[in-house]
Amino acid sequence: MSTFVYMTRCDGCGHCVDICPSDIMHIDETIRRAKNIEPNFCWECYSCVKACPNHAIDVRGYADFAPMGHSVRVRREEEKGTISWRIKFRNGTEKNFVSPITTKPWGKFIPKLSEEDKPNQGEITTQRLYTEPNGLNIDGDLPTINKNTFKKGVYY
Amino acid sequence: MAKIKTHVEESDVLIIGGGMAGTGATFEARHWGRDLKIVCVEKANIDRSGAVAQGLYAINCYMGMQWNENQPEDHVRYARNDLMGMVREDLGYDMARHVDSTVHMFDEWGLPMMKNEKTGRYLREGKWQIMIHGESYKPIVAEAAKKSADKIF
Repeated sequence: MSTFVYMTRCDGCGHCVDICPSDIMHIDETIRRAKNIEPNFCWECYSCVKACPNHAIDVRGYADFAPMGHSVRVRREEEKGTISWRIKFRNGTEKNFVSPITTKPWGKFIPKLSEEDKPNQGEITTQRLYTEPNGLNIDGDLPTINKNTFKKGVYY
Repeated sequence: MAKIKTHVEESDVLIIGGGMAGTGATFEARHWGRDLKIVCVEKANIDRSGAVAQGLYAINCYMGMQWNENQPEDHVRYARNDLMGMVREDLGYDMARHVDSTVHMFDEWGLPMMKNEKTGRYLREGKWQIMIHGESYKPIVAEAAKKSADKIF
């Protein structure tokens, strides 16, 4: 279905407007609160729900698997590296899930390539990509294509 | 319809679309072209754009060449059968031989991958798929693109 905004929680900060991949979360010009301008185009990706600092956005589920009275709430904590989901069913059952979103401090292990040593001309002319061939973890270099080794038939 | 403004930007490498492929290409482009001006254009925020916006809990293709689980030749045969022969085998082969190093790179960057504790192998849910905790798959790769690009629109 689509997202909707609890008007009393929204403070019009615009984080949802910035993050929405479908560009349908807009700030209402009169009341200065976020709203979903085109519910039919909502992907239900939860990007805005996760981005909202005030937890003001909720998503209506489809009637078949999430009938009225249910709720799905999410809290994404980048510092802790976790995402936590709380699902409340109409009959009162509650389920909580926590999953990791990263195993390492955020962004720390992604190299800033412009500050690293330049690849030399010899490396540029090879068919290797970044981290190859070491990153492949195999003996020898990047495999090269050889039509004679192609397998025929459908069976593995 | 809002007013559309035209913005002129000169660049050496222009990457159109900042989804999974575009952000990855931005990073790779910076590795090979350190002094080039690399610009990535995307209609939304690259942290949450494209098909992986909401997260993706599997990597759909991993060869496992290091454990001899699959070899690029196996992937070419799979793709050929799956698409009833209508494939560019060289492209399929090329994708397959590079995919392992990319997956290892994501592991290095902190993407949580499910592993067999005894063997250290990635857990599979199919012949090609491996299981990950991919809620932040896109933000992690977007982070790499942000560090690499000169400008992101």
